[in-house]
Amino acid sequence: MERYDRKREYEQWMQQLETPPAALEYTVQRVQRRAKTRPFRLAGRWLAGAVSFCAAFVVLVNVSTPFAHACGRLPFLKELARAVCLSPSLAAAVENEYVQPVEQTDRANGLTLRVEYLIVDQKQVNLFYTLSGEGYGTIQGDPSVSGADGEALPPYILSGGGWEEDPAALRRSTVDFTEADVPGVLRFTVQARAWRDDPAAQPAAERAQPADTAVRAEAEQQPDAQATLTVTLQFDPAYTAQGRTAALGQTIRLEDVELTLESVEIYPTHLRLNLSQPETAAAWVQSLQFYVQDERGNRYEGVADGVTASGSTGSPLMATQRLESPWFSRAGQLTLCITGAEVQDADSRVKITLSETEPRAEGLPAAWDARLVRAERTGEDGEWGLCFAGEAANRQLFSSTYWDESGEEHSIRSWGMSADPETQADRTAQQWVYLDGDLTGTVWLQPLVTRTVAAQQPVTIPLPMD
Amino acid sequence: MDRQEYARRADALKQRLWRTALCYLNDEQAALEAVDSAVYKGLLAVHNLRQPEYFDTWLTRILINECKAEQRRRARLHPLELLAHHAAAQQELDNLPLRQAVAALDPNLRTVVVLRFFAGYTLEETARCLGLPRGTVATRQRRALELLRLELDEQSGEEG
Repeated sequence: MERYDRKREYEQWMQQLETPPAALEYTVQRVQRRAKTRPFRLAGRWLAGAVSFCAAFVVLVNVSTPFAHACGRLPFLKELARAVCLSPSLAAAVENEYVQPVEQTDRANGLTLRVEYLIVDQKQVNLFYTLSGEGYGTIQGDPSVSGADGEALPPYILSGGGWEEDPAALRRSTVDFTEADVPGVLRFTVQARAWRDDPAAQPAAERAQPADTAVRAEAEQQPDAQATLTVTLQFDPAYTAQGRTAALGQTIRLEDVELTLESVEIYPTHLRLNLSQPETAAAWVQSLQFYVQDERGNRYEGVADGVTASGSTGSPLMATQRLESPWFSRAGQLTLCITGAEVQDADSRVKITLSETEPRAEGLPAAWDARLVRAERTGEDGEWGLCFAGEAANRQLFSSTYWDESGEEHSIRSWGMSADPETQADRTAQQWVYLDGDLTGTVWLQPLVTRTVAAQQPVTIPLPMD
Repeated sequence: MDRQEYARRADALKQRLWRTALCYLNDEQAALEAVDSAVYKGLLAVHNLRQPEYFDTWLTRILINECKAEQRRRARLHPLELLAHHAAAQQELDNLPLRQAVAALDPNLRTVVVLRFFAGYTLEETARCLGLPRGTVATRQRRALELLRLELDEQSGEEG
């Protein structure tokens, strides 16, 4: 005997589907706001991190008892775990209670910045904070940092911030000092912009909208509140002293590429391997394929969520390569193992014909599975956007410098990538490269990576442990 | 299609998208997030849409991919639950209310039944959404209705 009257169930369900949730009404407005913040969202590696966010959280908390236990002693358990779940080094820092509660707050214009935790060492500051405001469903935060008196800091990379899907989420921003050490005092400022998701909740004066749809859509993208929020962080010297450096001074060869391993630096949040190459090198290392292994067989591999390599403006060499940190492993011996590298041939160029109807890219590296699929003038000033698609588009394709027809040097304005929304294949992506200036004819871009070189035998080097 | 036109078309389609996502995922919050995500990805990719007359099925296809991605995410979070769904046989389906029975269908069958009888697409439109031959969609539709013990005519759920 049938338990259910399926036809009746179907009709009831269809009736219920006639009443969508109120939040659906503002779908397009939410999406337009989100699209407007896209360049910032794509500025770092955080987009890729967010994709596997939840799965990584569950795996980490479930399989790592010490990690879950450490989180359990802190408020914001889930939020902190989520914020560090993609970074084995930061997860190890939490597990080893290398986390400092901060609880510093700034409020203005109905919005609140609250820095909850720090993970800081000699070279890197990780800030975990919330942005909140009563009645606001969406708060965007653009972070910046300066010295104690607002002065500029030595070279650093700031990542994180921007859009957050969950307004209550614990956000993370990372300040990574590429050369100097973390200063004793840091001012952390967030430009916060907030929107109410439901215009019905707004005061009447704010509800007034222009009649024209296009103008109204633009007006709805304006924030309902904004504020500049600042906290000044004074670091405990015991934390900012954490790190050690060992000289290596060993020259190795990967096919036709010679490089010298100068030194290794190990910090709680990451490991740095510093390289050099002869000034006359014909191919420059962009990404070294390497790892560190301890005597128990534990491997520390490429940084999963953060800076993977850095260089200086004076050289194409990415002179500092990063790994996840073995700091908390308490290993008796660590061994560096190098298997190959991705390199950039110094003379490589890709010729782009700027045309909206027949764009062409000539000289794309043979190993690339990426092609130019579209070119269009995107900005008010006629700037060009170039769209490449394919597996290789999953990572940055070009160096920041490019040349116009007269040989004049320019800088790429920005680049960003996304999954192909129609196929959603795991490996294919689209990458937009935005040029600066009103250009015509042809330009020459420089591929970031042109080929891979491999060690005949993996190069293994025991690391000095003192 | 420019972004203003995209906004207009997406706004007109949003309720249909939501019905699709809700019936596919059986979770109101997840459905809303899937619609947001699909409309966002569509906005970024609208320049790739060569035939604006297929806007609805194009954006619905993006939504279906979002729903599948959400399903994969859930599979990682709750693998045993998914296993139970895959094992759902006729007898188990009979013992479930319609919503849960639809959610327990094989994903290939579920997609067809959701698009056809809840989102209101015709057989041809459903085939275009899924990139499948019309005959394959018809076969899956028949099989899904049999498993659900749901007797619907060809016009059921279709929008005018």
